[in-house]
Amino acid sequence: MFDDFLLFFIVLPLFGCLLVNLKRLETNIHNIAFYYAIFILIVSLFLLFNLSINDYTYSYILNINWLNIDNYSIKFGIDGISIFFIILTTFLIPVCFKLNIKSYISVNYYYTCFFILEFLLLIVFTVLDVLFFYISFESTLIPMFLIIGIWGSRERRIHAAYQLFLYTLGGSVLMLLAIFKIYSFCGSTDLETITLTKFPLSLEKYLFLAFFIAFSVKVPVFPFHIWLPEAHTEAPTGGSVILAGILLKLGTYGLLRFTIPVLPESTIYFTPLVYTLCCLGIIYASLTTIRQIDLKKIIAYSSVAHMAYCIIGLFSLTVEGIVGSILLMIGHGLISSALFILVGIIYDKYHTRIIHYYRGLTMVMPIYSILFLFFTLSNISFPGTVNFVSEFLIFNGLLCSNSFILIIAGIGTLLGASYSLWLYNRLSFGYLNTKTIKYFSDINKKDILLLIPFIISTLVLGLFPTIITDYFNTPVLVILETINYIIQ
Amino acid sequence: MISIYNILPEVSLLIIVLYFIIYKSYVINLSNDLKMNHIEKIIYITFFSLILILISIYDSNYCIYSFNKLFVNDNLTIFTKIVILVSTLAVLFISKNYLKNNKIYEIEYYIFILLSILGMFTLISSNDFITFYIAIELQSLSFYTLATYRRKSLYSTEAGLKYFILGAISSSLLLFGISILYSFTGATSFNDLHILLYNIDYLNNDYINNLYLLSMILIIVSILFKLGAVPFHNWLPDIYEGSSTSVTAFFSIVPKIALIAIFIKLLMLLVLITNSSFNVILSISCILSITVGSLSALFQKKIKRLLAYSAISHIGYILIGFIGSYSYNYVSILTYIIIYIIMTILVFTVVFTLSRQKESRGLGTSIVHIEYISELKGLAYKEPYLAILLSITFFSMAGIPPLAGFFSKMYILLNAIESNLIIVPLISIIFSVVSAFYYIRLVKLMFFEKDSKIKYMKYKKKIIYFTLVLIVFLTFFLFMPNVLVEFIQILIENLYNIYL
Repeated sequence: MFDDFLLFFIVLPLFGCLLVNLKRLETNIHNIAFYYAIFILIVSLFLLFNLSINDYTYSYILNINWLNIDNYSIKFGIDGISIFFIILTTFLIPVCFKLNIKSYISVNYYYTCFFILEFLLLIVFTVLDVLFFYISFESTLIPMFLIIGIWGSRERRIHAAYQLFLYTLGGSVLMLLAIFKIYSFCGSTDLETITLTKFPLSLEKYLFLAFFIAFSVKVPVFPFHIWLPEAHTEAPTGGSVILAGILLKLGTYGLLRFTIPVLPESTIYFTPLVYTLCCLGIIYASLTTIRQIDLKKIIAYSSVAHMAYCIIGLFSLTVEGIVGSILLMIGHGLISSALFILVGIIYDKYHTRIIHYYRGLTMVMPIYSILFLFFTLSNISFPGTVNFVSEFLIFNGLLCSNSFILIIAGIGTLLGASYSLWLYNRLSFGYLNTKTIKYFSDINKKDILLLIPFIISTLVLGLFPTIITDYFNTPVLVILETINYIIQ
Repeated sequence: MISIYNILPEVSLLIIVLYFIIYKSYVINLSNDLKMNHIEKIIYITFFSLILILISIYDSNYCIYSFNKLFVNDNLTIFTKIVILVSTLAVLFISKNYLKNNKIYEIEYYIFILLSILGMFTLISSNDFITFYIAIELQSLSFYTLATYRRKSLYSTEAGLKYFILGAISSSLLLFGISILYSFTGATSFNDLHILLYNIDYLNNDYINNLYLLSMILIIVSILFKLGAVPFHNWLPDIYEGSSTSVTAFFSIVPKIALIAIFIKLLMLLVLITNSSFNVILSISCILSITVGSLSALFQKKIKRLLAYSAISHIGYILIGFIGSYSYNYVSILTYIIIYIIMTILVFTVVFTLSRQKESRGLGTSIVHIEYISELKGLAYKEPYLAILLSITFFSMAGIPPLAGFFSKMYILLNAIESNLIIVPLISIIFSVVSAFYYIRLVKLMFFEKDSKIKYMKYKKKIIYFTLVLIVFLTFFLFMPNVLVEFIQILIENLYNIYL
């Protein structure tokens, strides 16, 4: 195992950019991009297999001597939590490559955007330095802006692209000032150094608010969520998959890794505020979803609700809560992406996302309906799927922390079931609507093969979650112990 | 002492100017292209040799006074002179096509550019307020003439006249401030003033304190006018829009670093670090510049005016660096201005490269460069390389990571927070989001919309190789910022060693 393996791994997507733009390989560009992305996935699985379960520090540490100063270097490292986000990223990118897009500009720009996005995401999940986390976290806006704006489906995509960019940028600039204040106070932006510094409470409250506003726009938490339905409906299917699958998790990962350990006293101080906002988010998002008529908006709002559960789990500051939260992040990444792929399939056929045009699809697209049912049930957190395990763990954690929120979150589960089943009901059951849909064909083999990994992983993680959660336990315990140590 | 060697760059520029004046009178029979070729060769050779000379005399603790301490040559002046020469070369290189299309074949154009560079060199090397004033006047007068270059166009003459009148007012304020300073100190040389003002206990003496504040404020106001900071910014958009585009490129790229270098030296020498009386005017100017610059640029439809207002907001960011008392502030200022110069060169490269045939009634076809923002529509589908170039430049100007523009803002804000400022960084960062809008609107026009009506003419490929270097710098600044920043840091540390 050579020392700079992580550097090699992070730079792989950049080579993908180069490959895709070479003129000589232009005829095979789809295959090359897809197989190269699969290669990156295999390398990340290889990283997983060499990670040991009971490690309490980071593995594959990479130190980059950025400025030529002796003691100052940026650290990159993987631990049990980040490895699964990395695998999720490298898994969703080849999936995005196989989805259809209509493109006036040459296709290599699509692949280039996604490879650059993958590069930045790999940096986000491995860097252990809060300034570089911010840099890569913000940089993902540029490819996302281009993806939504160039390959989106209708005129409103420009509005959605602006909203994504400016809203997220506006939220996170305060975090930049907070990072500078942390640097000015501690003398370093290295994660381990600032985790072990105890800030004065007055300063810590402002820093926490700045960080929380930045992450709450990204996640998104209830008052700042309005960009998400817009961005999802206007994005191409690949863009939606990546947005729902990974980019929302940047916010919660940032909270878990960079806010809760670094600013523990204000975390406890502001927990009631966070709980309130998240509960409002769950109830409001779920109730709004019941009235939506756009397929993608429904799934987008369900993302808001699920992410609110993640944050509630994080702020419960118990092992079950945080482990459940991370598992929900991964599960939601898989399930929402699968739902967006399904909606994308139907959109490619009929070019409308309004639900009034569809009815009785079970009659003519039975396989599609089965797959849709499976993922709808997963979205509801039906037992046997990964969402169930994660929500169960979150509720356990919440019981230790605050039982009143538990009741409201439980109501949220009920509402989640209501809109998901209502959606499925309107879409698949009833008599076929031949006025609007005249030609039928079921889902083809390519798309089924695309969805099979999602089905397998959802079921396997739902029935045997310890495959993954064993990796989480130790890092989460480390985080909680550090918090205890700092507070004393 | 043979002091003429110390002002070798200035003397050589003067000789070239004289040569051009004489050149015109005896080569009247040569064709325009041949004349331009000669002139360009002479300018390139002169500038390259000056750059080499300046690089060779660069040394860490170098400081030589000449002409009875009227001029100084230290490493900041050498660095700034090199930057000015390189950026002028870049501007002349990229505007060659434009000059040919608009038939600007007169030698006086180059003469005035060289004279303004001579003024800037003298300004940077000045060690005395008299030299300072003369140099500012020389530079400004050349600029007034350059602004009115196309005398047959209404816009140009209006721009030049406005610039002249307002510039004359600011120069008179400068002279007034200098004379007040002379009145109570009896010295105009920077060294004498530095010794006097650092050691006199003027804070307890109201009379001297008021005179000091008044004179320094007048001088600062005059410099802020020339930079284009906000209460004094009204001339900037009109001048940028009215002058011919090559002159606008020259205005927006070259003089700012000269003014900022001398401003740094003035503040370092004449203002005690602990004296915070000027922070108020600099903070107000800075906040207003960022606010007015960002908000006004949202409504512009012409490229040059948009660049003018964005220049005003960038000057606002640079002024943040002058506010706090943290000693590394000047490093961040110089980093910012260099990255700003690179970004502006890239934008003007694309403006000069995109040209199309335009039919005007009765006058036949003429070649026109882009003027309105809407002419950038659909650039990605016609000229993909230029579109990528411009979008990287605009994202960098907006301050989006991981490009170099973000790092320049980062250093400025980092130093501001280390100086314990709160309101100024907060407002500047909120308005940076506002200004991000008009930059991404340009990216949107290029990538998200298709327009088949405008067809661009072909351009020379060698410009692209030149821009490739700059784009690589902007994109990969993330990986090696110390190449620039450490260098400037050593420069400023040496400056502190020499003067303080």
